[in-house]
This record gives sequence, C-alpha cells and structure tokens, in this order.
Amino acid sequence: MDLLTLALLIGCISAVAGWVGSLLGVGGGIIIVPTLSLLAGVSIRHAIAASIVAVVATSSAAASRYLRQGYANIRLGIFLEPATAGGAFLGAFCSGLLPDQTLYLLFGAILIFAATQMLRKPGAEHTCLPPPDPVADRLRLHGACPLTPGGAAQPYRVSRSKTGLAVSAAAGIVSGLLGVGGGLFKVPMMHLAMGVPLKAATATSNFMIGVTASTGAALYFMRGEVIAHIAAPVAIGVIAGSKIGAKCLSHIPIHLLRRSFAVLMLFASLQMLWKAIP
Amino acid sequence: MNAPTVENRIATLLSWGVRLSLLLLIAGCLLNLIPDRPGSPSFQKSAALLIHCGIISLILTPACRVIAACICYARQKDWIMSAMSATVVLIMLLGVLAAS
Repeated sequence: MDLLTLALLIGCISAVAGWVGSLLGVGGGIIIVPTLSLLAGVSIRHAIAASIVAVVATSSAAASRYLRQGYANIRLGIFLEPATAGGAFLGAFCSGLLPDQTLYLLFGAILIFAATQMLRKPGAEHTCLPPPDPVADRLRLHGACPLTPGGAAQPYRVSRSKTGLAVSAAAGIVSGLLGVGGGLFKVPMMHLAMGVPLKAATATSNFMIGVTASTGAALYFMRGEVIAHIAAPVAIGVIAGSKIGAKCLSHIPIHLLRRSFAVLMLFASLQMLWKAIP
Repeated sequence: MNAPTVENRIATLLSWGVRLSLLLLIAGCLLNLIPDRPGSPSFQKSAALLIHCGIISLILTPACRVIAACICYARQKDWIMSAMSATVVLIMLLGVLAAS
C-alpha cells in the first residue's frame, strides 16, 4: 500500500472512530488503537502515539464546548491534574521500555473492561449525602451545574478528594501507557465516589484529559514515535467524525449501537490478546 | 472572584489552539498530495514541516491552558490553585526532558 492510500484509509477509519466515539460517549483512543493496529496494520506503538495526539485534539475541542455551557468544574479539574499528569508521565515513560506484546496484552485487558462497562446498565443515582471533605471545603472544589439543558444551576458538594487523586493517577498511567484518554475511570470515579453529577463529571474529565494526553503525547513525540503520515489523518479524521456524530445524536438507537459495539470490542480484545502470545 | 471570565478565556484559548493545529495538519496533508516534479521545489519537506508544527501546537494547546490558569489564579491570589497548575507545567516539562 502506498503512503497516500494508507493515509486515506487511516483518515476514514479515524472518522468512523470519532463518529462512534461521540455517539457512545467514549474517547477516541479505545477505538482508534485497535482499529489502526488490527485493520490498518500499523504497529501498536505507532497506533498508541497517533491516538494520544488525536485524544488531545478531541478532548480540547469538547472541553471548550463544555466550559462555555458551564458544566466543567475547573477547580476540581486543576486539583486532580497534577495526579493525572504525573501518572501519564509515568505511563508514557514505561511504554517506551515495554515490548509490543505486553502493550497488546494490556490493551486487550482494557478493552474487555471497557466492553463490560458498556454492557452494564447505567448505575442508580446515589441517594445518600457524600461524607464531608475538609480538603474540598478548603480549596472550594464544590460546584454547580444545570441538571437539564437550559435549566438553573444546581449546587453539588465534592467529597472523597483523596480517592479522586489516587484514581486520577491510575487513570493517567493507563492513558500514558495505552494512548487512551482515561475517561473510562475518571467519570465513574467523580460521579460515584466524589458525588459530582454525571454531566459535570464527563465535562470535568474531558477538561483534564487534554492535559493528561498532552503530557503523554509530548513523551511519544520526543521519542519520535508520532509518525506524521499516521498521526495527521488520525487527528483530522477523528475531529471530523466526532463533529458529525454530535449532530446526529438524536437519530440513532444508541442502545443497539452500545450493545453491538461492546461485542465488537470483545472481539478486538481477543485478537489483541492473541497477538500478545509470543 | 471572576470565575466565568477564567472559564471563557480558557475555552477560547482551547478552541483556537485546536483550530490552528487542524489548519496546519490539513495544509500539510494537502501539500503532500502534490507530486514532486524534477526541476521544481519539493513540497514534501514543507508538508512534513507543517504537519510537525500542527502536532506540536496541538500538544502545546492544553499546556498553554494550564499556564493561563496558573496566571489567572495568581492574579486572584489563589496561591494553592496557582501552585497546582505550576506543578502540572513542571511535570510536562519533565516529560519532554526525560524523553529527549
């Protein structure tokens, strides 16, 4: 395959990944890395590097939208950022030392986790009040956000900030290691443990992911693993795809898409695990 | 306390950073499509340069956002938030140094 055809193929795959990702509310990374490495024949290392660059693009674009709508909790985001950036640094550093097989193995495991998360029914809203948290009080991490589009902002209290820091660091490691955003961990952590409403948790996670991915991307870039003719079509394709996805959100049976996509992810994870066998 | 301005400023910065990076990446990709002819200057080199600049500006966009937040909070004398943003910048710099 010549370079032009490969770039076009990668661009199209990434557009579909961005489209599906925005419909399902998952970052591009969890879709881009398997499709690039299993369908387009890109090595997993270069797929991860291209993916992490694309994640910077999608999360920054989405974060800017959420910030204007008043959903992202900037103070909470900044509070958790040192942990996630530190984790991303560690993860991206370690990925340079690990063999390809280990990366396939870890990615296969993450895919199984993501697929089971996707198949689960949306969890019940927590009804009990979160325990008081002096750190959150002192740093004024509590926020307010509209619960319905266009509605009045409802205040919420942030709790368990230390758990938040620990999970953020772990999410950062996964992000740096595997080229995904890590929203898979951050959103449930903020929503279920810290008491942040789901929409605000998604927005704040997106806000943080820009920094997490950028820290990892810088390391991959400096190591020369970001290949221009792969990373450029991936970034352009994903952004284009996610813009289209955001427009046709209401016309598509999301439930069916979620189920079928989870099955596809399980299939991809098997293929990844198969590649992990030396 | 003028938190909405911080949010709007950061949102503007992010969207312009992404726009600039995408513009550079698309320009680089389009330039790549022009075939090289003997006797005329090569487009491939400038295409690669544009794409690299696009990737660098994309990576720098969130970093600029953190620096902006650091300055905004320092102006509001919110030293803890400012220090946390500064820590993130330091981690990013450390990453670049560790890889080079």
